[in-house]
Amino acid sequence: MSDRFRDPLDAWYDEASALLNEDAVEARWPSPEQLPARTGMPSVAWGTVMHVVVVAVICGAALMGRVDPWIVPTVSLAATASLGPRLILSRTGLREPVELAAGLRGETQAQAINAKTWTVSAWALGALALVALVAAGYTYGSYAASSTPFLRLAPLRWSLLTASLVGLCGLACVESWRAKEASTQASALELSLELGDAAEGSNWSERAGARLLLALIAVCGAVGSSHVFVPDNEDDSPGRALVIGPRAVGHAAWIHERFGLEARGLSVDEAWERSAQRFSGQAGELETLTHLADLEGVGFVFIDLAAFPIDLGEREDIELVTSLTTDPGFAVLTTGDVNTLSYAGGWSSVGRTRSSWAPVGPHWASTGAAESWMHGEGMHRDAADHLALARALFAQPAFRQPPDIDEVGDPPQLNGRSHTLLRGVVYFGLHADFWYEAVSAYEGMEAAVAEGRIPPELEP
Amino acid sequence: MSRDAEPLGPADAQKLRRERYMQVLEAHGESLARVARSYAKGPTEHEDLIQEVALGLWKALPSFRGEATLKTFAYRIATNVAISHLRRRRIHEPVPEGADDAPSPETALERAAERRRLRRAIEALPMSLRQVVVLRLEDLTYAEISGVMGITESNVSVRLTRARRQLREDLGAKP
Repeated sequence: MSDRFRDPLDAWYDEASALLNEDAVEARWPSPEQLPARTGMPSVAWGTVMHVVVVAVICGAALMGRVDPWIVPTVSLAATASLGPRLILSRTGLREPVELAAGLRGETQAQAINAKTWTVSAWALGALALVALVAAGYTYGSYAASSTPFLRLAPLRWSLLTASLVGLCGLACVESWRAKEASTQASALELSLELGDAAEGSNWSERAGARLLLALIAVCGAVGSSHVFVPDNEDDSPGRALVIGPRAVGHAAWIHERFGLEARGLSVDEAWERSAQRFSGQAGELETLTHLADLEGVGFVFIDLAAFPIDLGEREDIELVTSLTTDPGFAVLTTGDVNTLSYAGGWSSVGRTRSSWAPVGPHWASTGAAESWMHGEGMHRDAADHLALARALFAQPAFRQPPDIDEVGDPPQLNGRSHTLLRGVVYFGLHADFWYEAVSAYEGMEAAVAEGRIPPELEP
Repeated sequence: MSRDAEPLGPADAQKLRRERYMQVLEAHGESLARVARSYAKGPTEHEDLIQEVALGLWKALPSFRGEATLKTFAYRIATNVAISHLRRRRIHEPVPEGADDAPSPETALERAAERRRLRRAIEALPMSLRQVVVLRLEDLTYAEISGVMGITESNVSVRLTRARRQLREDLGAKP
């Protein structure tokens, strides 16, 4: 010994050492082959495989439109939640005594305690941040639901989305870091230990499984997040409709039969009562009904303006019309040349005095185009304008198979998935009958009547 | 230790791990076994502890990055695994005190008696002192003990001094 601290004390220890070493020790160290194998299973990370299979199946179903797309971020969150604790436990060694965890990593106990403290603190801070973000998402969702049509998602969905994305990002960061560490250690043993269930020596499969899992989770997050930026009618297929008006129940039945939409009819009084329960009455009538549609979770609102007239003398209604027709999340269809909006927008009402009160945006069209088409060119002076607008509307991504409205018999693609990217199609019409008439014209009214698809009470 | 920094394929990594394992046992196997014996009560438990240390060493070797010497690394693992073993034993498997104290034909020999007394006295030390003493008795330098324990060399010296004082009290005038 040549330590600078060597002193007479060491002489005593040297003597003691010599005394103890007189007693020979018999050590039978096991060879590497004699060490117990960690597992006799094939080199497959079964936990990873299960995650991948579950996530893949649900992703596939969501992408095929078989399930609510919102299940994707839900599953992402579940995957995060199921993997997170395993990573925490394995990384921090919370399941093991400090000295054992230290021994398994070749660290000193002080290093192990330090690492555990830091890691636990980091995860705790991360959890707090996640909770804060969920709360913020809920708050923003609440705000958005009551203020702007853009990104108007239910607060809980905002929370889910926020938690899912943040959790995924966190998990991806941790996994990337772990993978980097493992790669610099000339072995993926640690990574396999952390992900669990993996057989020793199956580095390639463990790595591949982990990467595949992460890639799938990233896809889940991406698909889920895409729903934030795409106007959402809150329902995928077959969609729901809310019909408000004096003959709403009959119309709802017809809509259900014709388009397969789950349609619900409300009388004017019922609709107003429901709206009043939700809102304090400060909002305008039309705005209130739009909110009602959101809260009811419907994608289509058919409003009989005989019951809910738009008063273009009211600033709120003018602003709402402008907002709706300018917002890409809405497609506003009006019915025919007699529609008040047409007058207001100045599209078809040359000489009308109120034409400049409510400028309509590009996301507006009038079924007057259909009407014009139904009755032949020339019936309305502005048929060409209506037709062009209708084409523009139907060419939107929402209508994935835009009908050729020059061809008799092509109905507007309102059913199935064609409407799923639209937040809502709000029909402002003088009467729901008018809309019915126009749509019937698309598909051929005679055929519809002949086949008995139109209820007798609705026949024109 | 440049080899550590290079990414290796699974086969090479496994080969390197095996080489290091054999290297450690060849150079320090006997000493590590004595360390294990210091924490074991009886030959059976000693044998078990050796198996545990071997397994711990085998599992930990892939994470060896050359920041310490392989010797320090191995003693660190042996010490940590032994302490963990002691903790489990206290909880689950109490071993009768003095299981290896059965008289042997050599018990009459003074040196053998001294060895037993010394071992018992070391076992009676607080763990923080016992760890340092066990490593010192295996002729590790202060720097090596410092590396194994994660404490400073001066702290090693202080602990050894305190341990010596307590051993002197326990053993009487001379061990």
